[in-house]
Amino acid sequence: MKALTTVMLGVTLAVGFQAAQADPEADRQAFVKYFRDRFPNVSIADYKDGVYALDEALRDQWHVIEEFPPYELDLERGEELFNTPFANGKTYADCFPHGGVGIRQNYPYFDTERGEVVTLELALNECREANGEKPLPYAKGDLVAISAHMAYTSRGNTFDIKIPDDPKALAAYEKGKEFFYSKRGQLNFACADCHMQASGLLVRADKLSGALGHPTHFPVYRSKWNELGSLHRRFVGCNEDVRAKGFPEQSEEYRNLEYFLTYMSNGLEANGPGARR
Amino acid sequence: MKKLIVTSTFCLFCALAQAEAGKDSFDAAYQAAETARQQAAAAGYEWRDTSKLLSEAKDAAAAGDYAAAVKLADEAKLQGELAVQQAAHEADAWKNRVPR
Repeated sequence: MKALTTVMLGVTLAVGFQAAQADPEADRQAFVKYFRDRFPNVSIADYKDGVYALDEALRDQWHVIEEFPPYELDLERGEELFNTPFANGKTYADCFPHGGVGIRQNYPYFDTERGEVVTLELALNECREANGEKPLPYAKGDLVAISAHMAYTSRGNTFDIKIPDDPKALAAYEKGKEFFYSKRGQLNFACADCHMQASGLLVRADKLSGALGHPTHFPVYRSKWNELGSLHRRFVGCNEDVRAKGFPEQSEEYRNLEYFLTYMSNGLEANGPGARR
Repeated sequence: MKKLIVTSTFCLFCALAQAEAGKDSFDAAYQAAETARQQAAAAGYEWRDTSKLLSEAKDAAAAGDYAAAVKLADEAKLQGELAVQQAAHEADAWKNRVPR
């Protein structure tokens, strides 16, 4: 009888512990369900188009813009930069699987050896440094143009971010998740407040996009910037908009956030670079 | 005449003492505010404008306006303290916003 009680207690504790453990896939399904319930007439696949999935008038304007995409010159420049060898004769293609073509949907990934999240932009600068070149700024400029080119070669591929069976990987995912749902700044807003609870509503004259699909179309040509910018540049802007001090681009905080957000967008198509207001 | 000199010297002494007291109280206020800012930063919750307030406080002090300088430093200190409270509250509160 005592043995049976011990076994039952052990099983209960094990099950209870399992329930308390992180389950990213369950998180993702709940995340998608949230948006399906909030906008029943929007197809989940369309969330790759951000706010244009939620507003027909904005979508029509965007289609007109896309006839002469504002990022076109950056794409040409990005392709040229990508194909220009370093001083040592090697190229970016030597650093990446498949020569760097059609791989955007696999980023960011968790490097189990290093114990941290690696984004495409981080990998690009590490490629430069490994080949004796100086790193480039993360927010805008040449690096972002190269990232845009790589995104463009990956259009149509499905995001498939993995969380390896590694406690550090899960911890990075969980930290990104916590960041997304935590209120911060003098205005006390969480990412989730605007991009889930208030998605589809107006903040001044701008309609708020849903967080589902957020990373699929970056880097982005933002009219407000009048140029192409990275996802982390937008993270900084959003944080400062709620009067929180932004973290540096490619900081651990933002790489973990990108990891969480991109995992949530698994199953959606890569469609960068994008054009936004 | 002697009375005038004595009175003037006394007034000058008082003004200097007050300025010195003003500088001392600003230094204390600034230090307290900078500590609060660092605590907010350590928690990962520093607000956007806290550094700017501290910088403005320093500028006001440099211009001799210690009253304004202390006010700005105190506002920066409040921001730091509120940010630390925010961090402590959010450590658990974020979980309530996760959809199930």
